[in-house]
Amino acid sequence: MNIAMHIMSIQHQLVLAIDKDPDLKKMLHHFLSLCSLSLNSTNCHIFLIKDKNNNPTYQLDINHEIQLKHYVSFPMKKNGLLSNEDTELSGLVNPFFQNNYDEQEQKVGSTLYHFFKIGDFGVLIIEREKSLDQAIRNALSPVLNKLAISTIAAINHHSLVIEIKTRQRVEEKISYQASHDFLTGLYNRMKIQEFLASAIDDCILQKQTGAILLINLAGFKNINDVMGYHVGDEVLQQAAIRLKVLIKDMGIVARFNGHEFIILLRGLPVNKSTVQPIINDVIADIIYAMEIPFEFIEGRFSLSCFIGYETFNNASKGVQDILKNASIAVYEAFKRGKDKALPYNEVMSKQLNDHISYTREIKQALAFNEFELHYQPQYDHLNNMIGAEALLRWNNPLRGYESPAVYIPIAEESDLIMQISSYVLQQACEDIKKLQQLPLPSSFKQVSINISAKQLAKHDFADTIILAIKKNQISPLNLKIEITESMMMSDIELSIACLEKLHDVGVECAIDDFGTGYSSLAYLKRLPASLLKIDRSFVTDIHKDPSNQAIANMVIKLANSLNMEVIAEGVETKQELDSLIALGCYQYQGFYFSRPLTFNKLVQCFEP
Amino acid sequence: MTMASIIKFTESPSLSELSKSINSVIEEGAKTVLLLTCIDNNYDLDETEQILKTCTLPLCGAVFPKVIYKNKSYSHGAIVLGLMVSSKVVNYSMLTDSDTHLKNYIQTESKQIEHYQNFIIISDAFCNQCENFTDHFYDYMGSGISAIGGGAGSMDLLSYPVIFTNQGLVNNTTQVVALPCPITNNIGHGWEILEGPYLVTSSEGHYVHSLNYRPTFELYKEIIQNKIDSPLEDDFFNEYSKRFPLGIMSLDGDILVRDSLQTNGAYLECVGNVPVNSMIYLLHSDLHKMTLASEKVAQEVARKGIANTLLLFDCVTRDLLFGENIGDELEVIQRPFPNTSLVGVMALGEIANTTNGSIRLLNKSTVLGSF
Repeated sequence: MNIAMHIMSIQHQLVLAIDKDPDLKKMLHHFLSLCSLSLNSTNCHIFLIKDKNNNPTYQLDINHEIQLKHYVSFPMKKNGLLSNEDTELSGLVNPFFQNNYDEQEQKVGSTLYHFFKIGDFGVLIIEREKSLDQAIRNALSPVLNKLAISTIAAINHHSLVIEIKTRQRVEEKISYQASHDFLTGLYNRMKIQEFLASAIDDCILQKQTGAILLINLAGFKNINDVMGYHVGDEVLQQAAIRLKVLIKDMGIVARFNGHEFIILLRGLPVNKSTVQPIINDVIADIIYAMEIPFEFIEGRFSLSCFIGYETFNNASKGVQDILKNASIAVYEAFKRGKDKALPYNEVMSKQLNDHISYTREIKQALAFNEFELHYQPQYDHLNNMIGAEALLRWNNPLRGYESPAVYIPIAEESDLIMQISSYVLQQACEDIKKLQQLPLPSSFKQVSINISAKQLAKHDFADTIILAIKKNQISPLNLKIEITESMMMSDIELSIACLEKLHDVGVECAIDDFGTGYSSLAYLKRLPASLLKIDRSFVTDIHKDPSNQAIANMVIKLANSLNMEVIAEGVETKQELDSLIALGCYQYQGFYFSRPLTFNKLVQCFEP
Repeated sequence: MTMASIIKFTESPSLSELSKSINSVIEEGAKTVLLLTCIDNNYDLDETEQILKTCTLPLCGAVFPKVIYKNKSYSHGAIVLGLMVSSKVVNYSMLTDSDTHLKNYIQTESKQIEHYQNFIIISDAFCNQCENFTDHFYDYMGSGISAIGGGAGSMDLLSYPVIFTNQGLVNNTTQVVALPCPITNNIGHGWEILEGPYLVTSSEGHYVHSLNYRPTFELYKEIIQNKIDSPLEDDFFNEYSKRFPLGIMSLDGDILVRDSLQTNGAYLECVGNVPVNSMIYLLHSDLHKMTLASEKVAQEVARKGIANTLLLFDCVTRDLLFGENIGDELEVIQRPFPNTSLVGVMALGEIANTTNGSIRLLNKSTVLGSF
């Protein structure tokens, strides 16, 4: 009677443990701990079939030999050795699993093992000092059936949980990728627009002000160009961290575009006079943070930034309006250079629109051949014409001749400058060809053309010039190119290589506006240039201005020492000419000698 | 070979005596200090903390209802044991109610002693995770380990800081002293089946709600009433529960005693878990059987080898049952070890390996260890 009750008690205790937890490992661990208690076992284990991911399974792979693997034990170790590392045990389990018995007792050394099959996918092992009575073993049969069913249910549950978790992870990843910038981990442009839309609504409901600050890292392109994109990426990552640390809970930082970041400030007071100091403080902090040098293995890099911002406290401006305005403001700040941060105002939009329509007009001018080349003759001290500088003129049908000072900078902002430069080169070559057919005085050597920075930066710059010379069948000796000091400095080695290539075919080079930019005298010595042009600002009133005299004198002496010729630009009076002669400058260009002439007028100069 | 521990015993409840004994064992070259003191010493907590903090050796131990020295038990005084081996002491203080957290916590903290096999486990008896601790600790450390220990605290069932650490006295803590030498241990109790079995039809941890589908207290009272002639008084429980504990019988016939501590008139609260669907019995014993059991324990330990240090965790309820005859039990324990002084405590629950090797919380038992 008591034995029967005891067996029932054991059965019930073990069965009760089986469905205790949907987590398979916890359930089986709890089951084993009760086995230890109710069956008085020293150690008990469960081995299961596992899939290729080492997860338990009940589905047999008929194509492969089935090997059970350790899944859980109570206690975890035996004499200090983890049961999953017990090779003797696993060496006994699999042969038992392969045979036809449902349960078996086996003594190995001093250990008595009792093996019981769990369905057709697992084995329960009970280690005891004494043999288990057959009545107990028989009584375990329904327990093992229940264990098999619950194990299958738990494996299914586990698979379902894994599938749900995997799906959740994938969804989270997709959602993250859709809203975050992969490089910096910041929110991306799409997401900040959502935040901005909600911030606009909040401002209306809660009577607050919001602000969008668009930050452009100035000089960033140089890092990418010179050090490579990997360094550029690191700069962006560090900049992102700095901005996040700085903004904290005040707002949201996002990467807007390339090297542009955007900050949405929320919950600012509605009063304008209170808002501005807050924004000013944030801007000051951003500028300070961005100007701290970025340090890498490759070196330290200093950057600055420009900031354009726009505030909002009602629904009059939509998301796109606010972003566009901040973008216009940052462009304006960048253009002006002196102000690091500018708030948007409507004048900026008007200026931008003007700018855009002007750019469009330049394009039309190129299409309709409204550009012309005029030539300003150059003379020596004996009044012989020694050459001419080709100067671009735009004969606007509505406004007449436009100043190059207006349209060249605008053209330089886009690739229009390349089209204009191409026109200048081609037209000058055609004109030289025509001049070569005239009885030119022996003193007349070359026509010079101005080269833009973008032209010089092109790797095929020299080839383009040489091709034009060949195509127009002119002598390279009749063409001179004029470059400024500063345009060489972005890639001095490339500039030197190009100029040397041109020098080798006979095209001479002049350094324009000399003295106004910055030069490295070391590089100047390496340049294959034959002429220095003294800028007109040093020539004006040279007879009265000692400092101009001193500069002109220095340029002349420098040219002499480098075995270069020197020409003065902007000579307008006899006094200026006399002063230049006195200083040893014997070539000139300026209104005193001649204004720029149309090509026909220039040709007339050579007619007998 | 392990050297015998240095033993300093004092009947004085004063802290200065304790401090002197600690300094003395340190001077004599001990490597770990184990303190066993009496709750009735009423040590001042701040002063005790100062003494403990100045101890330069690993320090462990606890405050118990009584201490045992040779063949006597004392309700005042202290035993300072200077262990001659470098032991690692781990105090498990973050004993949370969540079983998963508790398991993870025990596993994390036990990594530092995972290569040890022999332990003294001292638990604050009123920390309700004591039994769960032993289960998880055994699960992590595995079979083949050897442990002795017991519950510390006061008989008034109130919680006090009772565990000695190098930082002071703390409560709600279980302390494990990992020894680098083997412990030979044995357990016994002398309790036998009087009635049963009864199926535990409802229980929750320590609380046994129903037996054979009847309220536990109702059935318990009925069984005892059938065993005695006179009608039971309403407050019979306090007197009879000491004499008639419950017991869970293992498949191999060992009885795990479960002392019933208190009742609300429906359930019985036991010292230790009683699983639902387990079979329990009503037990009884007498002084002679209990003495014989203790004698057997001591003889078995003596048979296994030389005892350099003898450490006894005897259940405080045995002391209550023996009363002034407790010396008889202690005498039979001391007898097989003429060259080693018996030291120990009257504990609130004992801890040791049972026959299948697992570490269990025992009641009304004698746990003897030698090392």
